[in-house]
Amino acid sequence: MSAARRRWLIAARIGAGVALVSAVMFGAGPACDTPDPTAITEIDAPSYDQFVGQNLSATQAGVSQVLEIRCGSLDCHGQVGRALRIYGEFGLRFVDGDADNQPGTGATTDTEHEANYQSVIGLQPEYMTLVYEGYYPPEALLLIRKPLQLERHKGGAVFVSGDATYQCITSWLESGGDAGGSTDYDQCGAAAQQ
Amino acid sequence: MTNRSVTRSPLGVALLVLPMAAAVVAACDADPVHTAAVNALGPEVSGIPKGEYHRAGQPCVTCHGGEGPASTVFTIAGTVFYGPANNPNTPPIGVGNASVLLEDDSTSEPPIPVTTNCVGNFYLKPSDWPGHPEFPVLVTVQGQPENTNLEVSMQSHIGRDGSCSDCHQYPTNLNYFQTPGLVHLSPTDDPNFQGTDPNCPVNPVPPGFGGGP
Repeated sequence: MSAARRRWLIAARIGAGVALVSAVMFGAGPACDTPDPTAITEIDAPSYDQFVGQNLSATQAGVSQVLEIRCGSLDCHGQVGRALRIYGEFGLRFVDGDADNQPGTGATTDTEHEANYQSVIGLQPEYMTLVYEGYYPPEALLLIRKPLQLERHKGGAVFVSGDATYQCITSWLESGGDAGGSTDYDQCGAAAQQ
Repeated sequence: MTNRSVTRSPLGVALLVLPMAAAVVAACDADPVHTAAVNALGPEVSGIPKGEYHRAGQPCVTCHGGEGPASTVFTIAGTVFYGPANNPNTPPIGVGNASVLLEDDSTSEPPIPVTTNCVGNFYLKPSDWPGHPEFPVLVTVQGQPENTNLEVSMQSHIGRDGSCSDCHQYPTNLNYFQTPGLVHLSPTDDPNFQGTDPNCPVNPVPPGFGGGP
């Protein structure tokens, strides 16, 4: 190897090293920033009242009840470790809530309904807003994508497009925007019976 | 300056690389979560050999789910107890000859009877119900201990977990919010019930509750 080529190689290695260190420091800087504790993400979300269900007949149900039955078993989303965490009468119970119930005893409480609502709308807050305001279809949300198997879902397919569960949840999601609308409690009731 | 050319024989390379590869494989745990779950179950209890009577009340499919360490694979397995055993004076007691009725999402049922042994254990192997279960699964348990006729159905479905006791745990003040309690036939305990088979080779009270070999 010639002396000139050797000098060139050494210079190239030094240059690469400097570039690597700079890149690491440049990348680490923003990563070490402290998150702004005052920052909030505002969510324009579907109605809580319709999530729980109002003035329901014996054959109707709210969205929360459908999620409790279809998604919230203790071996699925009725677990504290799930990002989508569902509480309910037959699944996970809210600790230090208004009842301190055990699974299978006592109806789903107001605290548990509120926790379910926050879990659902907070899963993808920005997308939830865009879906509710009609900019995106419900299929943009993991809440719909996973049970439809459009994305990997360890629990497999839970419903199919157009069935009662799908119509129940999507009618609630799409109850905002210009078109307006309301949750289809009849479909929710049918889904809760499946 | 001189150029040096270093050559190694294939055997030399193999002797260098193989121990390194072995060390890497040994250091890596393919699934540390599974390993931790297996380790959390603890060792076998002295006097209860590995087999159909061991580890009553534990989550069977943790070890028997195909990831090991057990070689026999179960799709659904668990233990049926007599009562809820939520009183310290009434420990859980396994019930034998109880029928476990299963129906999966395709309305299929196991083609063979699923029955508990004398410590309350039952299990289904993949070959017992080929291609099934398709979750969710509905469950009912029936039994006739002490000349009674008891039946209880699970109020919700099994979503995906083949181990009953992953959810059906002995209830304490630390887990009451996430378990409906043990799988049990009778809504109340019976202090006189001592098991369904006096000749059972293993005490139907799990070792952690005063039972054992």
